[in-house]
Amino acid sequence: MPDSRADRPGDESAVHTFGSGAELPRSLALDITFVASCLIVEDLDHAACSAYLRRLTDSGTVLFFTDLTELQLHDVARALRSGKSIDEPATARSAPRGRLELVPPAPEDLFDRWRTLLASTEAMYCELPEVIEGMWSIMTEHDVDAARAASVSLVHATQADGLLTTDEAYGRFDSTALSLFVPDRRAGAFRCERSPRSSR
Amino acid sequence: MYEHDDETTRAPRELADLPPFPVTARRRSPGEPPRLRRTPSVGSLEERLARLDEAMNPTPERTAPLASFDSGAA
Repeated sequence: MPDSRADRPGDESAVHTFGSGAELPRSLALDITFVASCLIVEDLDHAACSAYLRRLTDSGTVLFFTDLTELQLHDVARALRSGKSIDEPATARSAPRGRLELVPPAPEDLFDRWRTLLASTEAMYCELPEVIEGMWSIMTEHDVDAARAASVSLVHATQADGLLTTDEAYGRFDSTALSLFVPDRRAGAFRCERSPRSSR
Repeated sequence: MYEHDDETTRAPRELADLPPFPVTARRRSPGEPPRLRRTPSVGSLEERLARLDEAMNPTPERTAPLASFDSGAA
């Protein structure tokens, strides 16, 4: 675990940005928004997410994922093929903005690249039933849907250092419940979302 | 026609013997870690990083520009 809970002195938000901190976490859980940003070149967070994933791979950080990640990847592929925006919570704000200027990648291509990503990183698969048990209490306590609750439950079950995401809805979890690893440009929004609860 | 009746809508007694929700999940004991499976990674770190780069930034032929998509050109 990184020795600092947050990137700024006195900041207890536990929102870690990709661009700061020399020490990388030992293990993290993958949220679909981060995966989509890595695989979709047109995504606004692509450069930041792909560069950070490369650093994580280089450092040997373990990445946890579940069946849900692969299920949601189907939604990403479908949305790309149709050129439509991707509804939350499947990929939240990871859809390319505006009309696609490139040929949308075929679903098979997206799945191929996801498989390559897994084979290139220190990825660790966790069966979805292993995290379901903790989901309901997370959903009711934090008013989130099942998909997001599964990601948080995955962090808890695996005792990962936090969640890799670009989805600001995770900011509603207080800092003691969930550490977040996010692109620098989104950090302000995450901290803003988190601050009212953190200060209670 | 369906009639609301506590006797008819009550779950049969034997359902109480089913495992608690989620029924498909293996219930872990407190403190028991989840079952995990490492995905196979092949090659040296340099080779894996090169493959990762290609997966995240595919070469143009995989996502070739479609000039006519918005311009209406043939």
